[in-house]
Amino acid sequence: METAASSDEQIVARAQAGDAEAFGEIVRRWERRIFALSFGMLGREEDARDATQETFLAAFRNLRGFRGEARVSSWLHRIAVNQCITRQRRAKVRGETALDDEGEADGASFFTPAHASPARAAESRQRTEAVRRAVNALPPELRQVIVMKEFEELTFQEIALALELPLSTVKSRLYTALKQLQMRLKNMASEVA
Amino acid sequence: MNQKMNQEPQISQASNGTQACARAEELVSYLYQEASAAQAQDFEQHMRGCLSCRAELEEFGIVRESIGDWRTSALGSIFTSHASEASLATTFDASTDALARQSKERPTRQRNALAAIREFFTLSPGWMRAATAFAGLAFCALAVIAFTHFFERAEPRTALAVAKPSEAEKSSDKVYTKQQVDEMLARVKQESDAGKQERLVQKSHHTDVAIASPSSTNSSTRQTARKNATVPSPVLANASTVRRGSNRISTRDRQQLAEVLLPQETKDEEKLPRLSDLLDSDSN
Repeated sequence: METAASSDEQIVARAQAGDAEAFGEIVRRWERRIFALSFGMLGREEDARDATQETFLAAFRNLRGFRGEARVSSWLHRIAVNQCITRQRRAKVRGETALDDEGEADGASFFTPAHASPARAAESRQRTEAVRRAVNALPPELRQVIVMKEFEELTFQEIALALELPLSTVKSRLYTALKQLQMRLKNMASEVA
Repeated sequence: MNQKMNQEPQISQASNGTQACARAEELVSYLYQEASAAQAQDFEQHMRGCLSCRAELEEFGIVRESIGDWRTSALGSIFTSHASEASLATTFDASTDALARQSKERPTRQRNALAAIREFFTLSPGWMRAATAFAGLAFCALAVIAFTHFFERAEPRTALAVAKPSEAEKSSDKVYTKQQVDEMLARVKQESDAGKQERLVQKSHHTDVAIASPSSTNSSTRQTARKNATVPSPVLANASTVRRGSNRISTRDRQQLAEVLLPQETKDEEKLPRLSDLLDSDSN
């Protein structure tokens, strides 16, 4: 009860003081959002799961380094974004299959509703796959903004705080991201046609 | 606000070649329903005359819808799966528990450092790896040279120390046991007693000389007595060594030593025949 009423900062302070359960509470509060962010950034459930786990592990390791100057949400988002960028870079160096080169079969299992007709399912699958590729092709600074807005449903103010950017920069980045996505989707549609 | 409403849409050239309105930020706020009521009304007024904003709003809506479909289908299936969610929570709990244990034990720091180095090598470009390897080799070579130089300088000193062990032994202070000190004291006492007796015999022989020149006799006697009473220097040296070295002489021993050494002169003087007595005896 006490935990539910506490703010993130208060819970982190308890965790810093040695309360073993307090950090678990932070994880429970933020795991979905961080997972959504990681999924939007990386595009694969497995990678997103790993990145989420690494985010919380990194946060736990650096718990003493958190001075309360930034909000816990900003702190966690920054760690998560860095984890995702590092994973992508590492994957690129290792020559692992990038998201945009992946076959559709991989995503088909969870993109297609079971009740959909084959034609509609194929169309839906194509569309989501195209979006996924288009999002993945965005530069990281644009991708993180669009993912935080669309996947985490954060407000502009929250994104600005999390990324420590001016509000106007967040808005202009979001506009640019939408514009680029629109162009890419249009190009993909014309290629298919 | 009215001024803004009457403004013509500001058109600017976008990077992709299409014409875009300068009120992009307002468009985004309106799209995500984060504009205030007044701002929303203002932008709606603006859109009536701005074809670009109207078109963009429609296209962005489609993009958002597509992303929403992707999000719902992907995350919905993940989050509605209880097994998945449970496994996520379990993994985090297990991981944090493991971390808590590791932070108590501490040896993970080394492993983390190794992982960080490995990651650095994985992420860094080839030239950086080569440069790091070269720097490492150079450091090793310098370390070897430094060690060799150090040992070369240290060797002569070691040889000298090996060649003259007796000198080193000589310079070191000897330590005597209490028993040895007592023996030495006893010897000194015996010697001094023997010396006293000899002196007394000699005094009786030199009485005439003492009468002829009493002052010189006294002084010579004193000197002799002093000489006899003087403890041999090695013994004193040894005694001082004992004092300095290991505090093994008790107060009683010191008093004994003082008795032996100091009162010799006064005792000898007492036993000397007085000049007046000798004159009296001669006159008689």
